[in-house]
Amino acid sequence: MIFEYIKLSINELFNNKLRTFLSLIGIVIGVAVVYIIFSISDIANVAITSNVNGNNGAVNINYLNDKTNPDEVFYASLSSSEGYGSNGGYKFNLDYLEELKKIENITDVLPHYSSSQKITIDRKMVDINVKRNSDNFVSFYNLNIIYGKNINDYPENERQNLAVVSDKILKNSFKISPDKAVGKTIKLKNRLFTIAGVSSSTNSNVNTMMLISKEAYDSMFSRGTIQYASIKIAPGADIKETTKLAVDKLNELNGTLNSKNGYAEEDLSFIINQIKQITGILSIVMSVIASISLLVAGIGVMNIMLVSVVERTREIGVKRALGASKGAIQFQFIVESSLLTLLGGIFGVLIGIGVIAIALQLLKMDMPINLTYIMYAVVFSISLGVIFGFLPAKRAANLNIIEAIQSE
Amino acid sequence: MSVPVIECIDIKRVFNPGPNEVQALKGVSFKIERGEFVSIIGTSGSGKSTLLNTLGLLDNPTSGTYLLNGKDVTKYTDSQLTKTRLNSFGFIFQSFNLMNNISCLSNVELPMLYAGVSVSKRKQRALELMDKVLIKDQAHKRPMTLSGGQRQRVAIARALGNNPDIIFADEPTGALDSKTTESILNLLKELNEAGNTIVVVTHDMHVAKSAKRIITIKDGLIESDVMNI
Repeated sequence: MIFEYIKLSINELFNNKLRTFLSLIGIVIGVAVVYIIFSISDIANVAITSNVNGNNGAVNINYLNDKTNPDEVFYASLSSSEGYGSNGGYKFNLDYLEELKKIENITDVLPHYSSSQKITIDRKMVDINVKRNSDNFVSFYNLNIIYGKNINDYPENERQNLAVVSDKILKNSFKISPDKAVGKTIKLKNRLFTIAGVSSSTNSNVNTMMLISKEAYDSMFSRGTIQYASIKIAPGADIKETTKLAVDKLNELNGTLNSKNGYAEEDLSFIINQIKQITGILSIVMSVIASISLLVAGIGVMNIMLVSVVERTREIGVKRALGASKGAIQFQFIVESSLLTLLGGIFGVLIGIGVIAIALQLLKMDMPINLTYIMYAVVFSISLGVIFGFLPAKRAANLNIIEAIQSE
Repeated sequence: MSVPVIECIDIKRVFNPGPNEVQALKGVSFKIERGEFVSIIGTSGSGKSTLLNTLGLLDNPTSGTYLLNGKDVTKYTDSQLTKTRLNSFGFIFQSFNLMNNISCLSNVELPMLYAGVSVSKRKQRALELMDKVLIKDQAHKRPMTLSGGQRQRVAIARALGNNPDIIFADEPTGALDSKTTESILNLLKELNEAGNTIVVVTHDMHVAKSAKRIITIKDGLIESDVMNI
């Protein structure tokens, strides 16, 4: 029965293609905007969380003077997540770190030797994080060398004055195109290095650094400069649980399990919450705007339906005379307006998906299409049609039959 | 004695009650038995259209009693009226009033759709009816592409859909030429001979004469009610 009405409605909508199209535009834009807003806040959340939360299952462990102070935990976490050390650094013991490898689900442990230094390329001086190319450094971060070669690809006796620099620091601080950087000379503490390779990574721990061979590092800086440690956790394992085991183990070995000072895992929930709050506010503002546009679009649909009722007065009168109930007439018009808005919703979602797909391509991100949003959009656009089709449908159903038949 | 299909007792209809009131029907009483072919004739303004609207349950009389198959329908609610129109009446209009955006077949199916007849039965019956009125070959065309006579045949098929007790025809040949008029009138006669009760409203004596009984309305009253032999 309902299919008959849908068939009649499709017929009607197709008979008025231009009008159908025009009344659709508002709904299409409204639904597309809503879909894009929701997806953007999703993308932002994923981007922030993966950027801040040490991706690929790598978690930083810091040494703090007061591990119970959330501010200190936060600042140390922030600092180490950018590859820099914290106030309480230099308190890592290689033997203790070795012990961590025995914990289940910890696949690797990396001590971060790093020093904040000024380096010069082409007479331009920039503050940078100099890191030691420990044996497992490249494998730990799956460091991608996009131009040139890694230091370890050279024979041991040639590594002394070689460096790998992140593409981000070249582009942003030195304004050097990464593909032209290989072979350039870097001056660090009056010592000259040659750029052997350019690395690229989305992990903020290693995307603003200069990496030098461990021999060079050890001769220039103290071997005790472990700023923080990173542990790598097996995929699928509980990151929080495993990290806690590691931190407790370190504190136990160090005798700092119950004292204020000691080791603590990175905790950036503060900043994530802050950013989520901002994106949340943005979403609300955008949603309000989108709601207003949908309201206007809905009123447009109502207007179109009212015009349609006036145009089809005679048809309605005849149908009523033939025995169509008020309910049947009302239902037909509501089906028609719902179909109209549903069509708008579908086009809106398709446009939204397209825009988001392009955005993801530009951001080099990958995110599945959220089916819940599509479902919401469908349900929402149908209800929009029901709500704004109700009044015109009611008016159609309540027409005086004799007057309706006699109308032109 | 069987119960008459229609029994009107002192039906009055007043428009705009007050100083400018118009008395369209001033007290009309008559009976129509099952199987009759009645024409109601009158000049414009005589009240014949108001009478048809009242008989067809499209309008409520101001006073009087209207018994349909012995049941008083003047107190019916809107949904009861709708149901009665759907199941007991078939309407034929002067200007056909077919839906132009659907096929002729779908037009014939329409009353059956509202009556909740299943798709397959509906289609089968619609084709049977169209066959009966000799228009089956046009079933899948749009009404706009048909001639006036063909369109009126589609409308007649539509009126027969739910096997009505009475078929009301309002100037069924008003928009047709004389030759087509003849064929439509013959069709109505055939339908009557097959047992259908038919009430035709017209201002055309020629059309009225094809009925077995002629009721003449003048100034809201029945002037004459004669058998046409």
